[in-house]
Amino acid sequence: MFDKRRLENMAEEINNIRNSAEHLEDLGKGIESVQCYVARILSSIRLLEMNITDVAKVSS
Amino acid sequence: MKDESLYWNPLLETLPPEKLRALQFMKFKRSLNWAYRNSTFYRRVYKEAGLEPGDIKTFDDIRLIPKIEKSMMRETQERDPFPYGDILSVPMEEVSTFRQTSGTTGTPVYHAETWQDLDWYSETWAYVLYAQGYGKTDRVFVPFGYNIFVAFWGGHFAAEKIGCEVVPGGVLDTKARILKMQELKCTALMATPTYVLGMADTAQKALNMDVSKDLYIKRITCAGEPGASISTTKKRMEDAWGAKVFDHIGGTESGAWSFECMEQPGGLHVNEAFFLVEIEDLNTGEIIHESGKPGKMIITAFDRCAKPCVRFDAKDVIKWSDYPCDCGRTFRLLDGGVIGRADDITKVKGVLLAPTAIEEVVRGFPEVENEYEVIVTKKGEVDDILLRIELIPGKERESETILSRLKDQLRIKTNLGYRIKAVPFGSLPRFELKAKRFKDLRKRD
Repeated sequence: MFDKRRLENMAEEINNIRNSAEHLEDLGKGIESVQCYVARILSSIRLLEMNITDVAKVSS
Repeated sequence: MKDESLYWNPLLETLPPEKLRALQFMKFKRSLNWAYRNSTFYRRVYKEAGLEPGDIKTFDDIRLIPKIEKSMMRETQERDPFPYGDILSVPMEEVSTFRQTSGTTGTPVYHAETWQDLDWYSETWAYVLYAQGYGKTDRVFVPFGYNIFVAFWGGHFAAEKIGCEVVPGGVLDTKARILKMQELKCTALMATPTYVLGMADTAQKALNMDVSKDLYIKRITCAGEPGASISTTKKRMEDAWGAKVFDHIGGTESGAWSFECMEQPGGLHVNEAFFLVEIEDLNTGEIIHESGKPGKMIITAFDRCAKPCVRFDAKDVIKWSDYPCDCGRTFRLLDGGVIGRADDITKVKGVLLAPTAIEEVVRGFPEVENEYEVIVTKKGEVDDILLRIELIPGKERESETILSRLKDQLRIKTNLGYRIKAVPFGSLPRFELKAKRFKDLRKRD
């Protein structure tokens, strides 16, 4: 059985990365390259949420 | 759980069933909310049914949500925004890729993907390939046209994602592809069953090669048409290539929703963390929960953005298995994969006939060449089934015995009598990618 604490820690870390990415998106307004790569980062974060955060939600 | 390294994501793939259902319900609601908020089409369908997302409070309530038919998707394409219609759920500026369906069942349906959707699509394929043993030491050859059809695009990006080296084999003809696979010592391959058999055939006849000895392919992922879950066709492919052949079934509208794992348990796992598969009784329309009873698949793909897929009537006929899989995944198995399509399964002489049942018998005869043709007509008021086969060279003298055995086996398998003709070798149509071997001419009469 997977360590529940470890799962929660991962979910928290993913949320932190999301917050950082969204903050960067804000800071980088008007810079196309920043907007492009932040969108890519947020897409990966979305997949991490599907793979990890969603599991944490139903396991809590 | 077995060793974690056997899974792309052990957390999801071995999630206890009750938590998996909870996950599915949470994701269904999320997908339903997304479709309702962002798609004029879905909002219209649900309002006409007098439903809102908040009405779905339990898992059983899901069946209240109206099903989406392909015809509805075709119809909505006539509306703005061009070319996708009002099913589109993101601003047009966010659409990164155009796709369309192959059009085998009618006018092609156009499909939009955002960058997020492409990531999602390759993620669902990653589950497929990882379960089939693909890894960082594989050099994967992808012999498809890289065109507007979804086909193996997701497989290509998923193979890259999980660390394989990918060789894009588009543009090259079949002989060049075979030679390139040999030159680069490719270890894996993705193709339709028709093409897998076709390449082995071309290698032998045009290049004097035995792909099982002269190439290095260890694993083959088949998709695009039935075949790899038909035991006799699988055996033909595995014998020809000396490699393991795995089935995958997906769809443009849905995604890569199912996979055969390395245990080859005689069925396909549904990726229940990314999809909800419901089986609907063909006669009553009730949802089937028990194993062994075939029905029509209704599929929801969780978290698609540009073009949501919520309770899509895929018309694939499937049934749950009643056995677990040794791989340790809690994703349920479909016994025998996709048995057929609801619009392919037809009544002949009053008996339900699935074309895949004929394939299973015919491919079990090593004396019979890969290609065959079934033609159903009406003679007066009576249905007639003609099976045309080619005997492999050298077997012509045994024609009477082979045809007699074939007739008996078909009767046992399908409860029907057939007229069988052995036609000259090489005279039947050869298909490059997806085969169309079953012709029901009664529909035209």
